[in-house]
Amino acid sequence: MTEYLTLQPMRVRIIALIVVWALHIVLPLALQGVPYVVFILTQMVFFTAFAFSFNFLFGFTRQLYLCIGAFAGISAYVTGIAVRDGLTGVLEAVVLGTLLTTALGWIVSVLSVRRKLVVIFTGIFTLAITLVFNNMVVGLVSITGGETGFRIRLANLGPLEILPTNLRFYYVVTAVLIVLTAISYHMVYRTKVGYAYRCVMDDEFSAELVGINVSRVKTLTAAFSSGLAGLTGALYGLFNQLISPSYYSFSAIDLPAQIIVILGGRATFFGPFIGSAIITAVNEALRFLGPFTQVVYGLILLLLLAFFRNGLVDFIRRRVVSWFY
Amino acid sequence: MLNVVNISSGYGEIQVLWNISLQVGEGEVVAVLGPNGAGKTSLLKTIIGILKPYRGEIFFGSKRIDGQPTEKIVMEGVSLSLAEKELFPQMTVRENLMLGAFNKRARNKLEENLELVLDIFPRLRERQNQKAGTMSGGEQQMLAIGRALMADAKLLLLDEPSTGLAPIMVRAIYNGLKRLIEVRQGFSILLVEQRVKDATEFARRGYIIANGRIVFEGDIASDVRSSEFMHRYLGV
Amino acid sequence: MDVSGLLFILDGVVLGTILSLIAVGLTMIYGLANVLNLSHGEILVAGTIAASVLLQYTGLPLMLSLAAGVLITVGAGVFIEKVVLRPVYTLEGDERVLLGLYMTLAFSILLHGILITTFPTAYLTVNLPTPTIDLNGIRVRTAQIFAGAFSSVILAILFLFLKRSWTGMAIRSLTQNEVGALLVGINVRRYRLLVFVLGSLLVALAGIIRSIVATVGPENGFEFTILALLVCVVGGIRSVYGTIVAGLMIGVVYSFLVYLIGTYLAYVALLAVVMVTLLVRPYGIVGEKL
Repeated sequence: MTEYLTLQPMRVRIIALIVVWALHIVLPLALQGVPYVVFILTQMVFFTAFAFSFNFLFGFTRQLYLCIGAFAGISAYVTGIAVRDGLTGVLEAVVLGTLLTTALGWIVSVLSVRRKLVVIFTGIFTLAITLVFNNMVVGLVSITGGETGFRIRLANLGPLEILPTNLRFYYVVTAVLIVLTAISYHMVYRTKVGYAYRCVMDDEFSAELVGINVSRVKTLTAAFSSGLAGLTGALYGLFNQLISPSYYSFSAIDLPAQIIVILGGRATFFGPFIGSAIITAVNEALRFLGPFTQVVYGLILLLLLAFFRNGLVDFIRRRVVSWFY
Repeated sequence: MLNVVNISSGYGEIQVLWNISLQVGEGEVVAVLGPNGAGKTSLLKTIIGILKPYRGEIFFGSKRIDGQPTEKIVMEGVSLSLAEKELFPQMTVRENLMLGAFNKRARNKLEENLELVLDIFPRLRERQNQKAGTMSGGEQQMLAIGRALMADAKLLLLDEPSTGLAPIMVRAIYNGLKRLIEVRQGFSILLVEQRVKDATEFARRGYIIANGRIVFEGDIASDVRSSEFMHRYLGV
Repeated sequence: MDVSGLLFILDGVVLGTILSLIAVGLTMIYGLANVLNLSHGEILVAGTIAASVLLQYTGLPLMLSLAAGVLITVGAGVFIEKVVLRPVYTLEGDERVLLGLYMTLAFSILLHGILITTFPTAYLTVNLPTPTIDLNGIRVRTAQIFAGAFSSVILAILFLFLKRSWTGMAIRSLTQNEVGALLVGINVRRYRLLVFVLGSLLVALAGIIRSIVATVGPENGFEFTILALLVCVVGGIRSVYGTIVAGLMIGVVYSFLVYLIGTYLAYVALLAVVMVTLLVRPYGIVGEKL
């Protein structure tokens, strides 16, 4: 049975990824006529990106960052304020936001590694960051508009203006995702650096013994994942044209991102794609429940954790394989 | 008193003991020797119920104790002291000892047993109010044994009491144990040891376990002096 | 500053004792079961909601309604231990902590959703028939002093219980070495359940005492959990003594800060303190290495 599984894992993975990419590129073009669907798909890819952020941090390097939403929000607010007050152009604002969160994420990681913080303490630390973010945003009403936030005009995305309005953000984010996953996939599975990475993923202690600089691996991953969160957050803000704390709260971003990662399978490259697609579909299906959705999400998470801890994909794969044997 | 019948045991899928049978009589001190990793500690853990055996039976007196939860076995009168000590580091020596008498039966004899323990291990009496985590390895081992004694057991399972200790501490511990069997009647000890010499001074009868099986049973006090014997069974 | 300043200290101490009461349950549960119970605050609210609903819609007298609330909270705690956390106990170490954290988080979300949609207006306020004293023009609600006294007494009893009684000692021993506890004949599973019951009981009482001082509503659950978590971190996540002290400290400091710089910024300052503590002394002010 295991033989079948290990037969051509690389091939299967690459094929799966390429299929997913292709679908992502083609689908919205096919569904252009239904703007609502395009809107939903855009939401989907945004959350895929957030999920990747969490996945790289927790799934790959076991750094429990419960502040993805806060990072996204920080970047969004910086971008939004820069655009709103005409401080910089759109592109510069986004870059600024991204760089800021990259730095923050890197610093947190360095601190955690330096102080040898256990997973749970990193979690609490980053949760504190989320809370600080929320409170500061609400508290500094004059700058941030408090609970309500502030609106920004539709941004001029330069060369992307070619695309029809509602597809622009979709393709920006999708492009980021494809480039990202392509590069990281190549790096992790095809280079020496990637090999070191996989050693760290498997057993940090042994990796350290073998001479791999585990802290460097972790901090770099943290920097780049936080950057991703920031970039996505800024784009999300521009997309919604409204920057408000409710869009970047723990339950709005972190929670879905985590559910997506668990659902799709931790430490995989197409997990977030699959998970996000499923969650988006579920979200739409449950829209009629209104306030009850929270109950359902809690239940889903519980069931996931209890029975499908390694992700739905893994579960299906095992079932399918055992069916053959 | 203790009758282990054809016990096979292990950790989940990893089997470490095969068809072990041994007996300890009332008032006897029996040794279990063997090289590292032979399964000696696992045997003690199986007797006390931390490991559940795959097959076989264990009788304590007339009661069957295999498969029973540890707290019931302790209540019956079996007590284990591990080489790992497993003390309560933030509690004082005294508190650790008192907890040793946790089971209902031992609580009634608490004062009496406490005096006994402090008597045979004077070091502990000196450091009564010291936190267990701050003591030296040897003192901690003493405390672990003392705590096991507080359970008012009829059978004491001792896991390598001399491991990693300086000879002077080993002496102190064995002296204490000798004092114990002088003072207590009907009290049995099943002693697992790597240091053959100490074990043979203390116990007459013994078993040797290698690779999870018993390879020798009998009088170890005299035989063991022959170096051929030592070499053959213990790889010494 | 004068008398009005003293008033804030009173506020702070009372808040502190209530925080300690909530946090201490969280600490004990973590220390014993290695589970960070993120639904701790939610079950508090479940209890106050139950009491509130009973008071509003049935003729049940105050004491019975409150008692029912306490029972609900304790019941929720038992449910968490026996049902929600079942898959968690098959794991060890870091894995267990993480799964426990997530399971209780998920349960907290589930519970919150149910409570918010079913009882959105179930607020609990307990008005003690005690006088309000007038001191030089400053009005002091003696009810507050009573609240503080109640929680202090409970904390004192808890402390003695843990220090002196056999059960208390068993609980302490389990937080220090599970194998050792097994060896002396302690039934680990029974005590795990007991600690959940005890923790839930404390948090239920905290909820009731809190409702003497300020209204407790269905939305407050997560906030209580977070505050408890912050107190635990500062006090040392496995140390009961440290947690109690930290609760008092944080209560006073927080109240003072609110007076000085307003609620939001005070909260931020508190969070900053916690973050620094995590970096400098992850095991809290008591600082044991466990």
